[in-house]
Amino acid sequence: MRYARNPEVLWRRVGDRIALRPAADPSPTGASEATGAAALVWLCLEEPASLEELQADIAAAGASPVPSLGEALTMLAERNLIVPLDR
Amino acid sequence: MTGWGLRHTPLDAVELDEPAAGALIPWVRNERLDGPLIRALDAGAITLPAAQADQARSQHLEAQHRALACEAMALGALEILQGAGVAAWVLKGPAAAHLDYPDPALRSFVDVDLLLERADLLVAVRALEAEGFGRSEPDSARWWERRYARTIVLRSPERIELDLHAAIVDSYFGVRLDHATLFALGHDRIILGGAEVRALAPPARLLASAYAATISWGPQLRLLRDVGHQLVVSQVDWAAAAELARAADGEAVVAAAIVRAAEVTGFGPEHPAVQWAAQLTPSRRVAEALALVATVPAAGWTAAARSALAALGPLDRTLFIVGVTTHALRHRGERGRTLADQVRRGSRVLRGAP
Repeated sequence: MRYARNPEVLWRRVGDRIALRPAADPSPTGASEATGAAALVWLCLEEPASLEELQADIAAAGASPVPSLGEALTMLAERNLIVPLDR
Repeated sequence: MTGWGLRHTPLDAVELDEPAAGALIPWVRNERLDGPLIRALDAGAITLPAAQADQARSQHLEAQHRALACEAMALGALEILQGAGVAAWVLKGPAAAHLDYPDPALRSFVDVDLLLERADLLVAVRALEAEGFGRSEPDSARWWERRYARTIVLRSPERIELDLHAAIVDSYFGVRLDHATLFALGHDRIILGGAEVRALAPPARLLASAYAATISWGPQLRLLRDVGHQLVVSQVDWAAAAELARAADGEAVVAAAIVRAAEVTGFGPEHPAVQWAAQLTPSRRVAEALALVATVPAAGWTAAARSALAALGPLDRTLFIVGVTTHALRHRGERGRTLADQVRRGSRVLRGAP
């Protein structure tokens, strides 16, 4: 399954964190952050990709494999920050 | 740091001790320069003690969360305005961050400014009030606001400030500027949260940034950095901006901002816009208007109002003064002034006394 950033999420990269907010929610509870593997997933999803493609991208960049990449992908999808493109 | 990303010649790296770093961090927050500070820290151009470096990073993260909240609020407000048939252009922070900076995290902002056509100003206020927005300041007579108000300040239900502008600045220069000439240039667009948001076309955006940098209260470094980024990064057609301003007696306003932006950000005296701006000599009338505007930080809104009078004909001057006076008298109690205080103050304003 391939995933993309939810286009209705506003974001900024702040060092090694990603500050995130649903575009429809300006309230104080709307703010969230992605760190670690979740931040990596977010940055790698500049173009839609599957878990396997993300792992391949990271390997191609010469970085060590990230074991929690799948969990991060699931967590971001559960929070509707990223969306599946096909099922 | 004010020249980060713009400076023509790099500065030597600096290491700040605890007292200096302690003074820098609140200054950075006030000037909204958290983005450039973090870039300078990451690049080793500035070194802070560990605790203050952490504080600077926390401050930057907080500022970005605030900017995202502003953008979310703006999207909701724009949807309401669209439903009311009101066109709006995003000004300043969100527009500059997305169009003129290589990374929007380099330009922090704490509120949202929208420019509207004057005829839409009160329609917009009513539409937003119906959805839970409220005024931050006492209102004036509707006829006065419709004809002369520069800005109506609202707060969203989340208490985020939304400034609705019928003019980009107060004063002689704000009144003289025919804003239709800015809209006529078309618009740039920003995609925010999947929605398309309008911003002014590049020359109009540079003009708006330059006017705001020259004619505004409070910290201005971010506004001067906007001018620098528009000239250096976005390579806006500055001659077109100057042409727009010339038709409104505002060339000297644009020139003043460009000269100051070059000074504080160090983007280089060889830039043709800086060379043009440095040699511009304003007419006597414009020089007087600029001199009056320069007193705004000390004298406050009354200086801008006096300046605006110079751009109005006899009937409009009378109506403007009637509206301002009525407003001041109606709300004098909120400012702790007696009727006699208010009459004396009004008399001083009209005489041009300090």
